[in-house]
Amino acid sequence: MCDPVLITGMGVVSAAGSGLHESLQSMAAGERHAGPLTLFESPVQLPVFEVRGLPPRQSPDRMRTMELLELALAEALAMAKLSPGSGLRIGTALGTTVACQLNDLNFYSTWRETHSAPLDSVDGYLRGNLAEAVAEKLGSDGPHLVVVNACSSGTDAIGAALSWLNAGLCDIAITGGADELNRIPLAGFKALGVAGDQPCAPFDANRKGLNLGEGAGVLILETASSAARRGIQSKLRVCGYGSSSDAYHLTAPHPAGEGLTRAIHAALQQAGIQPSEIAFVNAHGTSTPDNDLVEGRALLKLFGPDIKVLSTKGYTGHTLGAAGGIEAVFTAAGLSKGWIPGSAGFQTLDEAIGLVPTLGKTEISGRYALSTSLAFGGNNAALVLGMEESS
Amino acid sequence: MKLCGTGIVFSGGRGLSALEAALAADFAPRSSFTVPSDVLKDRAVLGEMRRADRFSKMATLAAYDAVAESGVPIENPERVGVIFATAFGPHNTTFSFLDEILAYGDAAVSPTVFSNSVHNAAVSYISNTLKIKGPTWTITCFKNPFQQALQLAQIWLAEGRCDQVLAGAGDECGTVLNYICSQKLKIAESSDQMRPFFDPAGPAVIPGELAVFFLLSRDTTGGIQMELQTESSPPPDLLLVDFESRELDMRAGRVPAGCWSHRAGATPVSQAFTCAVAGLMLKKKNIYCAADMLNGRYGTDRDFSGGFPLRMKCGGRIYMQIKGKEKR
Repeated sequence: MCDPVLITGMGVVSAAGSGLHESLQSMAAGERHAGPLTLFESPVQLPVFEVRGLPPRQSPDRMRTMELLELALAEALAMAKLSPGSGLRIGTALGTTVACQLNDLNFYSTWRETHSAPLDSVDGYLRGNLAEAVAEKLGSDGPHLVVVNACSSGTDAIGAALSWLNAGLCDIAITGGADELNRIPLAGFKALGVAGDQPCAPFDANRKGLNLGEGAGVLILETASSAARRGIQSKLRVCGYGSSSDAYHLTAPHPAGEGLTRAIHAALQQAGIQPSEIAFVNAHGTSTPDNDLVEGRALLKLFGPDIKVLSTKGYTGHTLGAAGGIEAVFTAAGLSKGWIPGSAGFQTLDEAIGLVPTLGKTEISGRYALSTSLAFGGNNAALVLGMEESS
Repeated sequence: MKLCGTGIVFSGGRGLSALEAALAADFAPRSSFTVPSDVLKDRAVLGEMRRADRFSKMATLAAYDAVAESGVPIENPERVGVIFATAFGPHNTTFSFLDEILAYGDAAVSPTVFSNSVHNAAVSYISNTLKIKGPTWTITCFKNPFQQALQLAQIWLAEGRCDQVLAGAGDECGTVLNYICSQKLKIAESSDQMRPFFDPAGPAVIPGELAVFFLLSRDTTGGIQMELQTESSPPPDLLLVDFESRELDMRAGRVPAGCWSHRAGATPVSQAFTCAVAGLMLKKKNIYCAADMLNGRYGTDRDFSGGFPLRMKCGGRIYMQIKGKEKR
């Protein structure tokens, strides 16, 4: 029997707010902070979910992703009462998409013209491996990796952390994901034809596509015995994780959601629970026609018509490699607080899906919730979070 | 974990026979370690990948060959996982996408180039080609990326998430990365001028590119075993030191050591190449001792004629050994 894996710390930053408290308040009020692009110049003018009011960069060559990660990490570490140099066995598994790519346009255009260029941004990139940077900051020599499975990266990173803790490789794992809004993926998603020119509307009949966002979501996972030794209490747990591949197409999901269904079954199996025990699903819900059709149908088939479903991307935009981390934090908060926000942007039922997500702040009861991620490349990931019953 | 099959694509060619030929050959100076383009031509395997880049093709061929070398087709694709480690990913395609932005503007770029520029495109091609439906992951680190992949593969097998895992690593060369290397590293003029990090004159390297995959199963009792070293692991008989990993555990000279990874040039995933070398030596029960390796500049002068080394440590904490009947 594995030592239960607790969530002893959480931190989040996105367009929905800086910090968990502010994010929950704004989502409860139904606020949506989508707006025009201001972070950089681009001829691609689409609604985006930027994080406003980020403190000035610590150094010009430091990636914005790292700044976002540090904000969420600081909140999570404070909640978990962890500090650098604690001497504990700590692993670091984080997801991203932008931070793994050497795609600085200024560096490259200079190099292209002259075959020579200053390496400041390259140095920032080489120092910007999220897991290595966090491990160095904390003085940890535990396992570390950055998952780069596109949009499921954050959820998969949590799955890696869960596996490490269950295997006894570490006592504590810092996990989640971070990604910045960046000119390159904005152009790429526009080219793919999946970026919408209206604020996103997950599962809505008139959805036009995703809006890119940015942010970070960090969870501190810890074995129950380690938490007990440190005198930390938490009722929240990570109970199960599942992952699968569609083996179908580079960019499109399997039309029957076959891979997603297998990932969810695997997560439920590891958690040792039935679909009927899931109180709500925080869906991937990107607002693209394909994703929402496939995901919505699969969720209804698995959980039945009464399942409560929301997508928090209506508040955060699609934060790519950060999405799984941010949404896991919101899912855990939903279990802990006993309510979930309305699925922002939804107005009209899509008959082809048949799913009506939460229409406003909704009370929930139950011990388990599911967070799902589908990714470019055919990856599917599912995470079951749980909350210990009050004694 | 039992090593069931190995696939490799590197500057010396494709497959274990190419690796064996490269290791057995006398050392000849060369100025680059890129994979020849004809090595990546295989319509039978890559027929559905016309739009894929070199990086994805290298990885897919290595993964395909690892399964083929095992001699057993994949029976239950839902129980097979893939973990691919890379430091830089398909950076040449990333730069191609930047070329598109610079040439045509942000609003007129190719979706295909963008799709292929993401790190996990290669693994998506692998899962599509081999019809693998288990967890298919790409991970990235600059420090020991392959070791992290192997560690996760070991856990997935132990916890029953998969029955088999294709664990591998790959990185590619390119003009931009070559420029960065030239600014960050001492570049040797030819391979006979390469020096490992432990050379008193300081390291000098030539960047290389490769992809390696290992098909691994849960069986811990026989065959060639691949695992991460633990406190209870017996001492190795041979250390395989990565040319550029800046990690040297010669145990004060008590354990013979050698360096083979410079036969593929310098890459962040050399550890995977070293493991392929160790696997081949264990399989063939032969220590390839070209003049630049054992008995030469970069290795031990130990004579193995009295007994074949059964336990090899391959940089970092990766440990490979022969168990069971295979010993004899």
